Amino acid sequence: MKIFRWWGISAFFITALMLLLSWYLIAPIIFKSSIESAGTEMLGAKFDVDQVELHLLPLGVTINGIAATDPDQPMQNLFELKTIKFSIDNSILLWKKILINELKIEGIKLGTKRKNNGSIEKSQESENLENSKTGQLFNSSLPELNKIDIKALVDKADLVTLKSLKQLEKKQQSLNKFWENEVENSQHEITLKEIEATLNRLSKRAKNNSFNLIKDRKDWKKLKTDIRKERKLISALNKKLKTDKTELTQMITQVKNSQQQDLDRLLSKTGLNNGLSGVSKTIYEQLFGAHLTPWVKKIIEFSKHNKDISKKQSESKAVTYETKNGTLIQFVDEKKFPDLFIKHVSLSGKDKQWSTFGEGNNLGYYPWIINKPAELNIEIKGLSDQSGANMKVKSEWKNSQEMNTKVHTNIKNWNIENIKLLQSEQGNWMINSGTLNASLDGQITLEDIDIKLNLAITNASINPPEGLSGWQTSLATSLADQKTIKITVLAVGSLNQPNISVKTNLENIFSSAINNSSKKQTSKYKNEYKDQISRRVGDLSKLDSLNSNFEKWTDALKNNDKLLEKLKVGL
Amino acid sequence: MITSLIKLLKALNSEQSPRQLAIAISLSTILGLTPLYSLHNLLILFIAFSFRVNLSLFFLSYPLFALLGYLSSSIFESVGSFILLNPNLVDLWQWFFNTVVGRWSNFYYSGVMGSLIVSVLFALILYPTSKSFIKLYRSQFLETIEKYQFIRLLKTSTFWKLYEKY
Repeated sequence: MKIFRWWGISAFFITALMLLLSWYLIAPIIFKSSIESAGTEMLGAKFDVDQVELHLLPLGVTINGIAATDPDQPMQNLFELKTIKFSIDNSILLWKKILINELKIEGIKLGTKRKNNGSIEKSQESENLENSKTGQLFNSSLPELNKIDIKALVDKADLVTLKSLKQLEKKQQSLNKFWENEVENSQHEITLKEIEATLNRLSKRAKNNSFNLIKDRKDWKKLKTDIRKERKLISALNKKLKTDKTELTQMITQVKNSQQQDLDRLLSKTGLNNGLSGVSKTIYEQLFGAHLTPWVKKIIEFSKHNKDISKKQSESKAVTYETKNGTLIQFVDEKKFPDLFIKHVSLSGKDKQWSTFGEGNNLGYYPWIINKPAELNIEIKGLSDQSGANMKVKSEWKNSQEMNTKVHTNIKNWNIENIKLLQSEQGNWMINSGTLNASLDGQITLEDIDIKLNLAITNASINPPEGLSGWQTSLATSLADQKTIKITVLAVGSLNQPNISVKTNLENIFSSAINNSSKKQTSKYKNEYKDQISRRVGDLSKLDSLNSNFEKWTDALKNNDKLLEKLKVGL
Repeated sequence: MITSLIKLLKALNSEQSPRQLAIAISLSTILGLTPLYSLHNLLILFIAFSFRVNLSLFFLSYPLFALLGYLSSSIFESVGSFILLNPNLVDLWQWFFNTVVGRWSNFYYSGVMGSLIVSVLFALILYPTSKSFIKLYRSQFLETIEKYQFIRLLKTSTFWKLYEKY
């Protein structure tokens, strides 16, 4: 019986060949689509690719016509690239690794005009996520009284005053119970009466017959002891009474002070705890923080991600990762070669105003396998003026647990046009024109971050949006007079909890704009909070009367003591 | 053109013994339950084409197993993770990972490994089962089904007559 189907074997190989040919024809379309969708996702705006070409001998790729839209200005590109060319080493590819000896990027242009709108439709969910990531938008942030339900806020709040009041009431009740029991205790009365009766009896006997003094000497002794005992008890009770009174007085004071604490806490949520300067600080931190800190946070997330991966890899033979294709178990790779390694990158480009060039070495993933520092230097020079920018990044990995990346960027006399300064409900506050000087210096390790960004925009012409009112109108006027805008962003500290702060010379402008327009409103706002807290807490004027019973008890104890002293004297 | 189509169908249906049909189903199980673009499926296809296996049944049963595979993917992931992370087998997987075949086989994805193990086991069980079922069907039920009106109608069609002729 025949086992093999010879025509089947031929059919298999012919089909395989046809599939390979089809893949060769279709693959550029698939790659183009993949690059576009990955670029669009990263950028948040359209990332266009004209064409992708595959070459077999040697194996290589050419990507033509890349345009990355500026997300803030959809009719303009952040950059355009004419060509990206690279060839891939076949022998390394056998191990599913990519080695690129030389990657050439040519024809870089910056800020070019687009023919079509490059914005993408974002879903409501992703927009909410973006807003939450970038912080609150500048939304005329002074809380308008008619917009905020202060009563509801106070009702929901966990007030310290109420807690303290509850504790005070409990304490007062327990003290009342104790002292009423002690002072009006029939046992004390009985004891006193017994002592008095005994004294009278023994005195009468002594009066009748003096020899009874000797006969009753034991009783006299016992009487003295009883009186002494009772007086000691009264003394102890007096001390306790004083302590209890002090404690109750302190608790009353705490309740009175708690109201201010509650007020401060509720006001701090709206930035009013430091008065109006608190509001302005909150506002400009939100504004500039929302713009500038996301990129800092991205760097931190990237470093943390690398740290997690490197730690995982060093600890285990088999490391689990979740990927979009499912769970991947990474075993130890004995081919000590990075999955992606670009030995050398060269960049060049020129347009009417700038020329760009740069190079990079030893870029790859995982970087600790490369054993050489990764470097990237890019320089941009103005052709008709003194403007320029340069960026230097150097990242060294001694091993998977030790990384040191240094960044140094400088921007000099860069003419800017139509740059967004702020974003508010009414629209964008644009810098129509100005000159930018900036520097970014920093160092990142797997444990710490230390980055400082200085921005200075001189001769700034600021265009506010329409429809401004109230204090924002004052702000717009003041900003228009401001010729230099300086912003400093600092990110310092541990990678897990870095301290990110934003400082600007616009703080005073914000403060005075808010002060001028909104003083009455914020004062009214504060008073409203006070009233609502008082309403919820209740009348605290009678708190001091809680102490009044102590006088009564003190007197009662005093009277008893006086009686005993009199009896003692009578002895 | 109809003649060519008929000849193709004849070729596809040429291997009709229960054993050949059962092998077709078993191979289709592996192809369907595992991710299609996996290295081992090249081998499965090569076996299906090269050996006398009923190709019609092989291709016809693929969608059913593919659907079953899609529905069972979470089970395959669990099985795969269990096998790949087993401390007694890590060294073996480590060695295999550092071979060219291992690198391209994607066996280190838990879904691939899990589905391969389950599908091979399933195929081993399905082979004797389907073989017995086919024998039983032919001996017990085929005669009854051929009496159905629809089948008799089909057999009177021109297409059937041409098929029988070739």
